[in-house]
Parts: sequence; structure tokens; C-alpha cells
Amino acid sequence: MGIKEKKQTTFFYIFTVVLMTMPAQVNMALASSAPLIVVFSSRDNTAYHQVLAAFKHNLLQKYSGAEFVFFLLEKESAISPVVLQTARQRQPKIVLALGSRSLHAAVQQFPATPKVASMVINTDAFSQADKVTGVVLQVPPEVHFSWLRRLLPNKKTVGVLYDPKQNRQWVDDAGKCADVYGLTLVAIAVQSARDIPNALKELNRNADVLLAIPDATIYSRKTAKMVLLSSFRNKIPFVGLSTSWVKAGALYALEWDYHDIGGQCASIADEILCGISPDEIPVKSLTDKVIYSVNRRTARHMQLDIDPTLLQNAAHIFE
Amino acid sequence: MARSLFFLGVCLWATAAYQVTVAQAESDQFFGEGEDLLFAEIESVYSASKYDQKVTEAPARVSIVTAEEIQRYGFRTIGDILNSLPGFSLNYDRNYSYIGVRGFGVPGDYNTRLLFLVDGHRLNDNIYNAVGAATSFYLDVDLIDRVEVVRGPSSSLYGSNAFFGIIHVITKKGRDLNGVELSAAVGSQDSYQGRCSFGQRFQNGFEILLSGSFYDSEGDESLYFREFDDPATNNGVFENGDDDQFTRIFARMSLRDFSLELAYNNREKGIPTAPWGVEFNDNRTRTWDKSWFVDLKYQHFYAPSNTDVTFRLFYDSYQYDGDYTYDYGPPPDIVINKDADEGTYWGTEIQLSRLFFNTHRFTAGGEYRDSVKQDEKNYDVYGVWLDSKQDIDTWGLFIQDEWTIADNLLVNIGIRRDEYDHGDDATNPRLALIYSPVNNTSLKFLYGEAFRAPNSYELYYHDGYTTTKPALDLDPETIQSYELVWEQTLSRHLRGSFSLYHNVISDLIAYTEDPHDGLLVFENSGDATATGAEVSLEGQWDNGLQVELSYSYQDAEDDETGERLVNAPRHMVKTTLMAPIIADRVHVGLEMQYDGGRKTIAADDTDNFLIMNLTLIGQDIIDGMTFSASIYNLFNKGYDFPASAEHSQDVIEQDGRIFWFKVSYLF
Repeated sequence: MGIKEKKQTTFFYIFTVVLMTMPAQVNMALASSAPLIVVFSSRDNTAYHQVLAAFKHNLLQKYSGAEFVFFLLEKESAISPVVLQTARQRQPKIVLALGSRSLHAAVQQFPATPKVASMVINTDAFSQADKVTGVVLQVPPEVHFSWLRRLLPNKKTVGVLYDPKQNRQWVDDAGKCADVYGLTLVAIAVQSARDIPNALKELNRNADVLLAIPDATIYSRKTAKMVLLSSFRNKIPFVGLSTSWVKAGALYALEWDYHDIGGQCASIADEILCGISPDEIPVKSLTDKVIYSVNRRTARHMQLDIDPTLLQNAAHIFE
Repeated sequence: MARSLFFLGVCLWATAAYQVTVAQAESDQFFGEGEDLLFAEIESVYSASKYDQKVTEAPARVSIVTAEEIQRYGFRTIGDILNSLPGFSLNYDRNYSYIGVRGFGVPGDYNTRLLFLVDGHRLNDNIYNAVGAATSFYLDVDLIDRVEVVRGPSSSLYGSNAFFGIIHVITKKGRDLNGVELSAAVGSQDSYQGRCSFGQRFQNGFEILLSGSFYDSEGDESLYFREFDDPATNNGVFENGDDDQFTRIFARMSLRDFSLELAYNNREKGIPTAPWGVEFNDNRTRTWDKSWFVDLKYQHFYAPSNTDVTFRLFYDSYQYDGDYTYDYGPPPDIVINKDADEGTYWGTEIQLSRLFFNTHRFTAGGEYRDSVKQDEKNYDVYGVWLDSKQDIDTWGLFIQDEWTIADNLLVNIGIRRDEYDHGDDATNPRLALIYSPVNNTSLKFLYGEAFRAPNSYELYYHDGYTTTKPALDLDPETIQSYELVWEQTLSRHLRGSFSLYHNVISDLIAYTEDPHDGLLVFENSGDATATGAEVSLEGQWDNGLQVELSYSYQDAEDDETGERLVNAPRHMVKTTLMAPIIADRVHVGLEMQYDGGRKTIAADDTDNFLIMNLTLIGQDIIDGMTFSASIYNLFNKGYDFPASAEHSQDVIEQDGRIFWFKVSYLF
């Protein structure tokens, strides 16, 4: 067990003990009109902290007495039935779920409570349950293409690998708008990770740039090396999924402003607290702010010139 | 002592590997959420560039040498590249370079037991089945993107010549240059080399790489051979007969699924060793090797059916000319005896690969090669001694299934049938079990068979029964190979591998002297067995530091006599170190090779030796410019390699310290 996991476990047990030994305070909170919000989080990293901090900050400005009960779900077995039961008895107004595992747990444990979810990459996760809305971690094709033209103006053919079961809609939408940006989309449907090498060879012959979209069939820790090496060796710039991918060798990646996502989640929570049903609030796919990271070492390897102004505005630059 | 150290090293390495594996397995157990795609740490491509997926899942022990390594270690030929790898050894008889593999390095075999490919195109010609490993190779090393070396028999996929392994050279593409590059080099022995290359990928997808180069070396101006130490033969000193020159052209064009490749090499070499009983110190004895090919390839991945299709059409030509100066006297009668061989063939290949049931990757295909010409001629002013015209066609069919039984268990099974129209047929299977008991560990249990059909030269060549005679009746030589490979990722930066192999060769074809008439002839000289082990540890870090240490033990012997085979060092230790001096700008590459000594044809032993090569390289200190300075055989160590049957010498001395300076500029 790593140090980080030990810290999380310790934090979790302290939190549980505090919760169970303070029934009086719990009952007082139940009695007050301030909303109780249960938070499930799948991870304990900076991005999740930023979302949660912004969510709490924005919500507390309007609901100063709002109370938050926090569950870290890095290990599913860590959810104590006793603690959950206590939280359920307090009848929270909203559940904030950060991550798909958290959303799943929230739907299971609080079926009747409105849920605001984010840090989830799959849109289907929202539509498959009732009383769920939020902000999905997806970048619409238009945003991707717009940034491609700015960062790589000479690249015209965009290659995308996708599993039709997960991303057919995204690819259909991308195909419809590629022309608008002067781009040609070469999308290859891949149903198994074992077909990725052949699909990559096809893209190496026919595409100028490889754009990654969140797709669990295509991208995983197991396949990451294969995709990155193919990009590296064939000098086909790879637009990664996140900063982690850029650090590992992708040319750049668009990312979300996680403070902004937290703020949007708070805004949605406010609407729910004002009486609007979550089913009436559409799932948002991108916040207004886009940040990006660039790997200059990869750019040098591929003999690509990135506009200095764009480099100045990058959130992270890897040398 | 060496054996004890070896096993101690293996045990220590195994213990470390187990501990690291358990730790990594624990740290990996919580991955599984979709958002891992975004937030999980991804292994850097910079520290992984040597380790393709295929390295751990391939049904063989695979090594990859990248363009960066070629440049920074100062490798100048494909032979240098291979010689840096565990299990490979080099021999140079001052005309051709010969690659030895895992205890087999038959002198004078022209590398016929290795299959060489360039971008999938077969290079072995149709007369000697040979590929030059030095200046007679097709490509400048500057044009190589990477070399994938697959050890072990692979006839189940590739047919003849994939006997000890496959050397697959993948060339650079136009996009790798993205402009014009000029390169000039100068070195010891009055050596010069120049290259002009142009590469570009255009916006319509058309991509082109064009390159032309030349090399000219005077060679060692004075070589001493004690076997000729007589006043009548200049006291054993051969003067000005070691020259070497070539011109090369390479072109590669591609548009979407089609690619067209053309390679041409024309090499001339003086032979200072006076083989075949020619006149000593006469620099008219020399060879010319001219070879070219054109290859058209179509490859497409049909996504709806998950089928990858490759089709290839090619034409190859090889021309060899040799001038050998004899004195037919007494009275003195100097005559130049000439070899003039020409082989051309065309062929086609098709290969289909498809995934079934998400667990079976089937690959099937066929190959046909039609020898248009296999002409061998030997003549001089007194007559034509050999005028052989052959036309041997061959075809092969193969099928392979890569069956993923579980996430950590893979079986690879394949078989190929080859037929030659002169009657040499062969069926070769391969079976591989690849098991990953824990994360980052790969165990491979490999069995394979391969064959090498006797080539036209071995069957038909003679020089009018002066020194050689034709074999006429030769069977294919075959190999059965058993191997265990353990590949272990020890950490993000460290990787180790261990392999244990046992090769059984039957009907080995070797050049021997017939005791009845004293003539040289190829014959199936018997059976041989090789048992060996290789252990290596590689480290690669993001800052460019790279280290590799390997030890190879190989014990090859003749089954009948029990004697050790010639030209095969029993122990080899190899170390490479690449270190950044100024990050991304200046690197130093150091290569050390220890060779434990080899048995010679006269049953003597060459001395063991330790050679060190050093290269300093600066990149983009001036934008677009790369310079390198190399010293080969840094400590000027004297060492010899065993000679071949055609030599009077038992050993041939190798070069001392050599300097090489090179500048490239990319416009």
C-alpha cells in the first residue's frame, strides 16, 4: 500500500469515527434548513480537489450553512454501511458524484436523491439513471477542430480511432463539422484493442494527426505505449486526452478548467435546490474555459513549430 | 569460474525481478475506472521507445536498435549494429563481413542463414542467398529508422534463410527529414563519405524520400600476412589492395495505401588476403557487387471486417563480378580469372490478417518467386570454365494463429510449406507459449523449425576444377530450436531478459576440402548442436541516459566429432552506454565488446579481446547541424578473426584504431 493510499485510509477512518460519535450534531444539522450535500469522489488528486473546492465555495456563497459529507471511493470496500445509513437518514438534498465509480455508487445508495455528476467521460452514464445531471468530461468535435487549426494549421487530415459502441455519435458529429474547419476526418472503427496496431498503421499512412477521444476500448494504460510509440516513430502528432498523456509524449491535450467545472456543478446544484428537477437540466459537455498542455520536446522531434503566443498561454509546457 | 559468476548473476537478477514485480502488482491493482484514461500516469514514450508491444508478445526474443542509437554509438554498417547485440558476432575477411549467431558463424557463408528484410522486402539474392553486412549492404545507416532483430527460426512465416533469425530494417520516411540533408564524413585510411537526401510529406498525403550517397576508402595501405612472408611475395606485405568504394541510391514514395521503394548499391572492393590461391600483392584481385530492387506494396486495414491486407510485387537483381589474378606458369603467365554472376527474380506476396472471436489473430499468406536468371560464369583468356544457367522458382504458403487464451496467456502456432521446382521442399512449424504470470513479466516457451535450401552457388559453382568443384547433390540444412525466454520490466527505466536455447542443426552445408582431389566443395557436413544462454540488463531514462549490459554463453559443437565449431566465441560480454553531456544537444556513446576467442579452421584459437568504441555527437548546436566524432578500437587493440577455407591464412588481422568525423546539415 502506498503512502497516499495510507493517508486516504486514515482520513477515511477518522472521518467515519467523527461521524459516528457525533449523532447530536447530525441531528442538529438535520433539523436545520441548510442543505446537506453528500459527496462521492473516486479520486484524491488535484483536479478533483479543485472541482470540489470550487463547488463548495460557490454553493456556500448562497447557502452559508450548507453541510458536506464526503466519501472517498478509491476502494469500493471502504464504504461503511453504517456511515452510509447515517447519511441516508439525514436525507441529503443533493449528491455530488465525481467520477463514474462515484456516480454508480450514488445511484445505488441514493436512488431518490437528485445527483450532480462530473469527472465522468461517458455520456451514457448520465442517461442510464434517473435524477442525474452534471458536466461530462468530453470535448465536442467543434472545439477540438478549432484548436487543431490554431495549434497545427498545416495538418488537414485528422485520424480518430473509436469503438462504435462508445463513440459512434461523437464520430458522426465530427464527420458533419470537419468540413467547416477545412479538415478531413479519417475515423477507423476498432472493436478490440488487438486491432489497434493495424488501425494505427492505416492512420499512419492516411492521417496527418491522430486525435484521441475518451474511449476505454482504445485507450488504456496497456495501449498507451503502443499509441504513443506509433505517433513518435511515424511523426504523426498525437492529441492526447489529458496532461498525463502530454507529459508522456502526446503533442498537446485540451483540458478543462476544473475550478470552472466545480462552479458549473454548483450552479446546477443551485437550480436543483431551487426546485428544478435534474431531469430537466441538460448535461453540459464543456465548460467555457479550455486549458491546454504542450510537449515541446515532441514538437521538436516532429519538427513542428507551435505559435509562441499559444505556447505562452499553455497551462503546462513539457520540455 | 565464468559459469559460476553467470549463475550467480542470474539468481541475483531473478530475486530483484521478483521483488519489483510484487511491488508493481500491488500498485496497479486499483486501476479500472474509465477516468483512468485521463488521470493515470502514462509511461513516457521517451523511456519506452526501444520496447515495442511486440517485444514482449512476439513469439521470439526480439531486440530493437533505434536510429538514435545508431547515430549516437557511431554504427556505420548493419554489421556494426548487429554486433552490438547479445548472441551476435562479426567476422570480416577484408572483403565481406559475416554475421555469426548463437554459436554458428560459418566463415564464408555470406550471411545466408539470416533473412534480411528492408521494409518487409526480402534482400537475400537468388544466387548466394547472400546479403552484405558492411559496405555491400543496400542502405546507409543514416536512412534506418530502426532495426528489429528476431532471434530463432522463423521459416514458419518467411521460408528459407530465416534459419537463425530475421533482420528487419525499417527505413525512415520523408517526414523524418522534412527537407534536404547533406552529410559529409572523413576518416582514417583516406576514407570519405557523402550523402544528399531529400524527404517531405506533402499536404495531399504524398510522401517521398530520395537519397544518394558515395563512399571511398583506400583501406589499410599496408597489410602483413606471415603466411606470405617470402621475398617472392613482398615479404608478406600487401600494399594498396584494401580499397573499398560504393555508390547507393534509395527512393521511397507513398500515397495513402500504396508505397514504392527502390534501392541500388554498387560496391567495389580490393581483396588483400589473396584467397583461392591468387597472386599475392596484386591489387587487380577484386570484387564488384551490384544489386538493386524495386518493390510495390499495398496495405490496407479493412475496419468493418477487421482485416489487414498486404500485397507486394517486386523485382530484384544482383550482379557479382570478381577478378582473380593467377599465375598459370611456369613460365610466368599472369591471367585474370573472372567470375560473372547475375541473378534476377520477380515475385509477389499476399498476406491477410484478421481477428476472430476477439481471441484468435489469424494470419495467412503466400509467396511466389520466379527466378528469371541465375547465371554463374567463370572464364579467362584460356576459356570458359563455368557457364551455368539455372531458373529455380519457389512458392510458399503459410498460416499462423495467435490465440489469446487469457489476458496473460498467449499461444502462437504457425506452419509454412515451401516448394522449389528443383525438388527441395520443406514444411516448418513453430509453437510459442507466452505467459505473463504477474505484471511486467513475460515468459516465452518457444519451439521452431527452419530450413535453408542450398543456393545456386553452393550447388553449381566451380572454376573449371582448378580450386573448386560443384556439389550438385545437396540437401537443405535444417534446424530445430528450443528456447526459454524470460523478459522482465524491473522498473520504469530498467528491463532485463534471460534466454536459454538449444539448437539442433542437421545436414549443415559447409565449404570443405575434398581429401580425394584437394578441391573445395560444399557438402552436407553433418550435424551440430548449440546450447547457450543470454542475459541482459537495459536501462533507459528520460534524460537520454541509456545503458545495456549483456553476457552470452554459447557452446556449439559438431555432433560427430564433438569438436567446437569454428568462428564462434564461447563467451561474449557487451556493454553500451549513452550519456547526455548537454541535454538533447551533446551525447557520448561508448561501446565495449569482449570476445572470448574463437576456434579457427586449423583448430587453433584466436586470442580473446576487448574492444572499445567511443562517439561524441552534437546535435543542433548550430540549428539543423549534427556533428559526430568517433574512435573505433580506442586502445588500438590487435585482434584477429578466423579465416575461411579459401584463405591460406588461419586468421585475419583486424583494424587498429580508426577515426571518423561526420557533419550533417538539414536545410
